Amino acid sequence: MRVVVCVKVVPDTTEPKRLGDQHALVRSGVQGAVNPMDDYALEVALKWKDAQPDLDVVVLTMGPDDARAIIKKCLAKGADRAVLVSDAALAGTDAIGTARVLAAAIRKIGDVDAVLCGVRSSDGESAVVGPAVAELLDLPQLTTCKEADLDASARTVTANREVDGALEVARAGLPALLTVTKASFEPRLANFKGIQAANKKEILGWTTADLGIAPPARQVLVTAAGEPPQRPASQVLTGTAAEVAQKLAQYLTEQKLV
Amino acid sequence: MSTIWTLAEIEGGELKGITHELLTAARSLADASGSLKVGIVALGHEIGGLVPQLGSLGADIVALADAPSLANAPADVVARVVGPFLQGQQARTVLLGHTATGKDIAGRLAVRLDCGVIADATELAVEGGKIVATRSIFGGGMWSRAVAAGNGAVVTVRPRAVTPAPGQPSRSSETLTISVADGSTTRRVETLELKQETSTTVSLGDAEVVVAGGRGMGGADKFGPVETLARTLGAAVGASRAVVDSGWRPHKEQIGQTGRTVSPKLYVALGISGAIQHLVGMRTSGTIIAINSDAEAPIMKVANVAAVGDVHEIVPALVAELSRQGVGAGA
Ligand SMILES: Cc1cc2nc3c(=O)[nH]c(=O)nc-3n(C[C@H](O)[C@H](O)[C@H](O)COP(=O)(O)OP(=O)(O)OC[C@H]3O[C@@H](n4cnc5c(N)ncnc54)[C@H](O)[C@@H]3O)c2cc1C
Repeated sequence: MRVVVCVKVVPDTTEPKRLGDQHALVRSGVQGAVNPMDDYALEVALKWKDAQPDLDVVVLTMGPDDARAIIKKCLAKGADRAVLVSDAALAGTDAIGTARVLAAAIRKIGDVDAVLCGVRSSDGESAVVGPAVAELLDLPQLTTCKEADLDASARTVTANREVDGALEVARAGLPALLTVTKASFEPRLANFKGIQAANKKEILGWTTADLGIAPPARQVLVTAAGEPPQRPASQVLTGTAAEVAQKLAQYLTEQKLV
Repeated sequence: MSTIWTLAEIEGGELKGITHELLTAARSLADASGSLKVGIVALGHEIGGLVPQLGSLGADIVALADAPSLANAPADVVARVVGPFLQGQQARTVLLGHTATGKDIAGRLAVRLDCGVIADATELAVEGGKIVATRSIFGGGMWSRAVAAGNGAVVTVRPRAVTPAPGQPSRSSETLTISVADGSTTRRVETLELKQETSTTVSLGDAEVVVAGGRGMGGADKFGPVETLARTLGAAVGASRAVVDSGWRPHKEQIGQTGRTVSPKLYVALGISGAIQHLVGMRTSGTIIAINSDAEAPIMKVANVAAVGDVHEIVPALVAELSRQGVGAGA
């Protein structure tokens, strides 16, 4: 069985973000990291692999060539191999365009039983790439999963989903696409053996030509960007607890917030 | 682009609040343009009774997909039924909520319509005949403005970004029927169990007021003030990641980069330092009040009101003061 985990390399969020040409996020020279939600998606796949060692776990990334160093960390944790779709023509690709590229790569990888994505990226935050990939591949989707069990013999996946104000247990037949949110477990860290093994694992580099697709046309144009209006300076309340509480209550009433 | 389309979110036979917001947004865009119409697709079983309400809330066209097999339809079924209809209508703008349901459908619908997605818009306008969406990015640290460049866009609108306008019962609408093709409703996803949270408190996503607690509360058993103040203000309870990671509160309450983004009218942060990863989840709130013993904590710079002191002393005094004024009495 084969599982593809879609992983995005995002700017490490502790670094300040900047916008450059065409209001796009400046990524070069900014420390990269695996998108936190994708790390959980990878962990779900690796847990499946713990139980079923012959499971083929493929990491798929669309991004610049320097994403390799970060993909290697996924291989060190236990993924079997990786595909990096890298193409100068893909710079500035929007969410649906990204989904088109990922779907084409998943088709080329072939015989995929499950696709796992993080629920959203920390930099784009659109949360639509996973469902768009599912639509392109005509797969059912289970989104915002906290946990998921793979039943290889029944060819189903059963997930605990976090939906607005409720927890849903849902099952889909394979092949299916899952998006994973912060799970109830922490992603594993790579150990020394894993890091050594990663050096021997393959990272295939594909372009849009290899996928047999044209770079997706841009459907969304960012026309302006800027800093939000400054919030008015904070009103600082000090004094005894009773005094502060009284001033707070007064503020809430005056502002009609209660 | 002659009609702005939206999709109704229906729960227990009733329209969810986001549907009012989307119709208000679509109506004001249409009125501003002078030429656009507002259409809404409602999908489910026995939902015909909602038509007058949808019309009064601003829809010129109500398109119904009504069949037993469409009750609580999963996203792939919705896309298969609604996609071809909207394609036939040559839809160029579709407004959905940036909600669990909206996000599930937005990407699938955009693929069907071969258009783009603009996610989490906080403001919409018409400029030169085009819909322009403003998004808050990097957690409110910046804003950006986007337009559809090609075949249009599915725009997801942040809940509570639009104040719903009251309905006008005299408004009427045209009703269309969406034909449901055989086989298009085949289910590939099965719900085995739905555990509604049995909490009596307000759910975070819908809350007008959020009271969130951080590590400064001091422990799982010391969260009482957060809950009491939430009850007094009719608020939902939120938490920082430090608190969730320590197991004091469940992850569904986490606000921030790896939790939820909220934008309530009032956000009260108790014992939260205001790390950037937390701020990204709440910075677009209307009014922010922080109570923290450290006047220099980053949250105090973001807050409209920064109260310096011990949460365990200030909050009980505040609750007492509010109840003296009759706020939260009986809650
Ligand atoms: C990749 C990544 C993702 C993250 N995602 C999130 C996220 O989604 N959400 C999130 O919240 N964090 C997130 N974090 C963590 C974030 O960086 C902070 O560590 C976290 O928000 C701190 O939580 P806190 O404010 O509760 O705790 P602290 O930073 O420890 O702050 C506690 C505050 O309480 C105050 N205090 C202490 N005692 C009292 C008292 N008696 N009365 C009043 N005030 C008191 C202190 O002055 C202090 O300001 C993320 C971090 C990373 C690296």
